[in-house]
Amino acid sequence: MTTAADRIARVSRTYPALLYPDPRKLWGRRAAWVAFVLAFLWASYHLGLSPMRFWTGFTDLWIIARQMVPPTHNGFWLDYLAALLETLAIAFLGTILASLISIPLGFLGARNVVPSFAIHFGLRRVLDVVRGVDTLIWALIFVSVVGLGPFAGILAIALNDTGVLAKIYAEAVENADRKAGEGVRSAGGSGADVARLAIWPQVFPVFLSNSLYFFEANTRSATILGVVGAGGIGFFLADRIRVNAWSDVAFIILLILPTVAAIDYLSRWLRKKAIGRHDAPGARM
Amino acid sequence: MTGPVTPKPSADIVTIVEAQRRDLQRDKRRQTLLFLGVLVVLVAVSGHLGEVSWQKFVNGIPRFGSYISRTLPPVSPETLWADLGRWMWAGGRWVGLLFDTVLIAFVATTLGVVAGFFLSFPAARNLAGGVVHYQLARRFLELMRTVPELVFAMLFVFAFGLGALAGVLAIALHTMGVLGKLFSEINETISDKSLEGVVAAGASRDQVIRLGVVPQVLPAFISYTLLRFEINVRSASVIGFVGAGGIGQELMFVINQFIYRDISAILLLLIITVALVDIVSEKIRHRILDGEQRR
Amino acid sequence: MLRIEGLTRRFGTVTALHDVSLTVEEGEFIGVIGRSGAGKSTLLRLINRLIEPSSGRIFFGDEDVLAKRGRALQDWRRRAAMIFQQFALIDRLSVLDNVLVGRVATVPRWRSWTLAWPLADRALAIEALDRLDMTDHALKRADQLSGGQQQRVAIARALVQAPRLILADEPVASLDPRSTRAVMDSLARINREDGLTVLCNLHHIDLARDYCRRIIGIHAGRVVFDGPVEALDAAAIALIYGQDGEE
Repeated sequence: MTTAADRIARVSRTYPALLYPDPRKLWGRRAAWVAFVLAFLWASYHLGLSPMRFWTGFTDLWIIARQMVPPTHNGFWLDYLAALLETLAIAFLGTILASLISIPLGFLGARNVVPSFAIHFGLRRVLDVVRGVDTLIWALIFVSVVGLGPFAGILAIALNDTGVLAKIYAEAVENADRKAGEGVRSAGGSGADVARLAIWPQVFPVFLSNSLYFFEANTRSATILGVVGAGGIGFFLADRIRVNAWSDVAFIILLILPTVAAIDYLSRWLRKKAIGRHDAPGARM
Repeated sequence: MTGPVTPKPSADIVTIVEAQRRDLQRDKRRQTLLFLGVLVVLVAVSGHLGEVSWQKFVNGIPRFGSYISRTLPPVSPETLWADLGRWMWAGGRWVGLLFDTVLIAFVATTLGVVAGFFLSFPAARNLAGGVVHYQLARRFLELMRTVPELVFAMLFVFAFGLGALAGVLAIALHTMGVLGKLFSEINETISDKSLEGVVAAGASRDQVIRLGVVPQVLPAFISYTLLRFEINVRSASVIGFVGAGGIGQELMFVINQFIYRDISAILLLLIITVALVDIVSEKIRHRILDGEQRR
Repeated sequence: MLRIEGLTRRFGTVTALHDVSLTVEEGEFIGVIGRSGAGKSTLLRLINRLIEPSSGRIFFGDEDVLAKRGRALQDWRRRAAMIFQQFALIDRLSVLDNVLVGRVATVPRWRSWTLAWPLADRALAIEALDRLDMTDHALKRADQLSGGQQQRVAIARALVQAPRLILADEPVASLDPRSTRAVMDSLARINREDGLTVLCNLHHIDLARDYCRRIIGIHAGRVVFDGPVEALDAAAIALIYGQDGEE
């Protein structure tokens, strides 16, 4: 039996490079961690976050939580339900509108359909700009343009989604199997024929599945559009918070949660169905 | 389809292809019509609920156009720099606010990731200590994920006062919910078989996770974290609408007061900021994932 | 040294191991043979406590193995080192770190969490790799090695656990013939030089004959043969492998 010290001495002679971890790597990693922690602390300090404020605020939070129980509606439940339906309508119409705009944009933005670099590049940059601005900012702008109400919310969702969906659609078109397109083209089809006969059946399920996914996400964002006056349940939510009616707030949140969950479930189910149903003809083409 | 080219065969082939397609899809057509019918009904009902009318579109779209054009600054080639300078008259302050916005996203992402990381193990079916832990962690993450950030922000502004603290906490909680769930799904892809070597060597539960699970899931965790950071920068740009810090408050002010030039100036700076963050984050992600591949 | 009494394990309605009793002496090299699904793997996993028995007892010296909980259980697992058919290494860790996982039960938590292993443990791991001719690969990622090399890393991991017992569950079933020899030779050498007790599940009788001094034959969850390798005649083999599954 050898002692630990003997063993270390022996191995440090035979395999010194293995015994001691590479100091450059070791200290590099430690320095990175220290830098990260310092950056975090400095950022917190710069933003004025202090543990003291956190703890004093925590007691207020506890008061809110206690006043949330039991949730009440004070006779407004019908208005809440109507606002919730309006929220769903905003999300639905916003998604439909975005999808309809994104179909032509998706084909225009695809390199294999429109070979013009200028159109392709320009369109993508415009979409980048649209996408870089949050839905809520668009909602605020549309409230200025078309006035308070759900219409502003629909336009905001439609615009922001177009920025993302058109890009996804364009990528789907570019990824569409080229052989099928060549088949139609060799049969004498025009560019439009290729788009309609070869690409469309392949990309349609992708379009549909993505639009459904966006409907799901939009339901979540539509719940807060009312905060800036763009319609839906968010208006009541913001209003009840403003007047500190916490039990009403709890009631509204309890309305929103199952609705969002139900839409999630429905969308997932439809997505599975859509992909299953449209896969086969696309493949057979 | 690539047969010999005889005079004018193409039209025939196209019709044959068309006919075949029609055959294949005839039985599908009824279903498609039904689908379209349901869609039309839903659009009509939603249109009624959403107070949409053609009139609104016809009026609204030109008005949006003129709104946008009004936000654009007058720039002439002779006085280019002076014009730009006047446009960005508060540029320094705006950049400072945008910097705060990115910092809010950074601090909130960090807090959310750490909390989501630790919750992702009890929330993974294969690693949870028991059904109770699993259900508790799952339900908690679900709640944090479903409540919109802005709602958290409004509640926190009441509790913690105006300022970045409320925004950071709101985004951190939401991030914890989203990433905790994503992480737990990644954890569930780890097979029990690969962990047996660590368990059989005498590791305790947390050591099994540290030595067996973490090395395998870390690249995916980092990738999702950086993506979330990009999203959080966007979120941080609007939490100021409810007074929770960042550029949002200033942006809301200039939009509501119709200070057109400032709207375009701030939005331009915001878009540049978001694009820069995306580029940097992508670079880091690629470097980490490539390094992982090479090692 | 190791005493097993009436060990039984049921999975639902299937009895994987039925009333197994046996004694293992220090320094033995025992081959556990039988058809796949006979219960060999269940036996080794029960000893390491990866699974719990339905009934029966396991003693190590005068320790009650089945009564161990928490730290004591982790220490028992360290002493009863397992080697798996599919190696059970962590792909994304380096070979050296994989070997050092064998020290996990003996180091403070902060060290295993930061992979800051004590120098003495690193030396131990490097020596273990050296014995298995694997030092050239020490800093590679585990998934860059061939199957035979990975299994040798797994043996090194078992060695640094400073075990009293090595439980090898089909260690060569996934390997080509040359790697098979290398891995079995390593196990034999460890048994010879360190006096470590080895229980090795094997599919092939030939391997068992070449390496083991004592054979335990399991058929349908029961021990049907237990004796020196010389006693393993045609009748015994028929009993172990069975012409058809009676009982």
